[in-house]
Amino acid sequence: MSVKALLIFVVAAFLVSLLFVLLGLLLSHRRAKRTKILTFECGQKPFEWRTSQFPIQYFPYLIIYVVYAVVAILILVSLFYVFEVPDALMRVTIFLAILTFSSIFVSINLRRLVQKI
Amino acid sequence: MSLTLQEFARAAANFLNELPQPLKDFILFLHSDAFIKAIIFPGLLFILTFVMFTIWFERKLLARVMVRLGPLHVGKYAGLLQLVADAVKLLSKELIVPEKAIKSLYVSMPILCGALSMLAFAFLPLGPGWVIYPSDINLLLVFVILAVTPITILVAGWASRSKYSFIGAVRFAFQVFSYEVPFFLSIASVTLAARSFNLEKIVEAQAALPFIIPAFLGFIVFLITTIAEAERVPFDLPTAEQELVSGWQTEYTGAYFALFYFAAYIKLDVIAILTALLFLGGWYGPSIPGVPESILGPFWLILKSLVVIFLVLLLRGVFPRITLDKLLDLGWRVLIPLALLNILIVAVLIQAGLL
Repeated sequence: MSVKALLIFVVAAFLVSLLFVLLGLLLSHRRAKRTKILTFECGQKPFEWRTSQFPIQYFPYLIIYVVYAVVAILILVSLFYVFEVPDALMRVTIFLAILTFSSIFVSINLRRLVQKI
Repeated sequence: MSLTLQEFARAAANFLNELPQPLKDFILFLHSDAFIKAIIFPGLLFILTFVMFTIWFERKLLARVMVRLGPLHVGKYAGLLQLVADAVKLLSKELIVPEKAIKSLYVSMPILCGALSMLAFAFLPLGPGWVIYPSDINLLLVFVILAVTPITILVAGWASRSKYSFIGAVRFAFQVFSYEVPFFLSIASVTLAARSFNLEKIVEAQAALPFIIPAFLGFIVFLITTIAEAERVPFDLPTAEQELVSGWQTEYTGAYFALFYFAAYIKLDVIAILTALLFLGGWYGPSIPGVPESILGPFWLILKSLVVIFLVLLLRGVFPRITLDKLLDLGWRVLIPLALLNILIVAVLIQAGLL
């Protein structure tokens, strides 16, 4: 019953998105011009775009966030543990306290991050 | 000739029986609960009207902040039909695919982005029983959809093969990194307080006390991260108009741009409704005599989410944009410790028997 509603909704959502594009194709006029299909470059002659360039400037932040993503998964698992075994809340609270105070300690003490490697 | 309601119903039933079978099935399908839920109320038509209202509301509100009048001439009252005019204008623009772009990805990503961001509404209950797909892990499903939608944006920025699009996409990737973890952690405190991932149970747990009071830090973290999620000012780095022409959507025109624009406002609405469900007590509110419960629930929920939308939109008129390193610093230095502290406070409150 509710699966049927979900299916109808998913189909309708995709149809509406397709309808936008179809209406765009129907309503728009087309006049091909060389300058239209060029890459946008603020009114100048386009520069080359190299595939290899990727800014690595804020790389240390990525490492920090990957570590915290693991912490988030640990917290999710401990949440499920608490849902299943309500008596385990004390242990989970101690675990949370350790995590919280260590993260506050790190964020206060790690003043200046290296921006480039 | 007077016709009572019962006679009318009987006549309608007779008329329905005389119709050929496929047509009868079709009319019965239009009446079914599944169709009404998917297309009319928590579904498609409601989303479209809500999004149109949000865009109109934003333009009007920002105009008032800047002491302007805003949309005025289109439509009978206060430019209400301005959005229809804008949509017609956008749809009649030429659809251009740049010659360097990867065409299949470039064309398919706007459609995917629009459809996926709409999909989050399938799991959001707008009142007791007013949900398209009830499930025990509603909140996780909404979270998954909110986490998947940015991928379409990243691919769109990469596939258009333009300098500005690429820089916008990279900024967006960093932004996703910085908001995703605190976003999840602030949700975790609410699930711990309600001991469920079901949004309906989370709202039922707030019958006496909305979670904004015990989990106030979590509410602040959630609001900041969701503003970053919806790419609103002050966190609109990926589409910064003054620096990168329009960020990752630079190369998109016409209907493709309209789809991305539409998807951004759907995301804003999803986030506002989620805030009202998780922290502001959902569909609970003072009862009005003469109004049935099933209408009053969605009414209060939408009113609360409109308050959240007002708050988020007002920020655009008030704050300047922050820089990328400040956003990255804010994420791990302030938001994650605050969110963890908030979970700890909730856990201690549960230990003390107060929640």
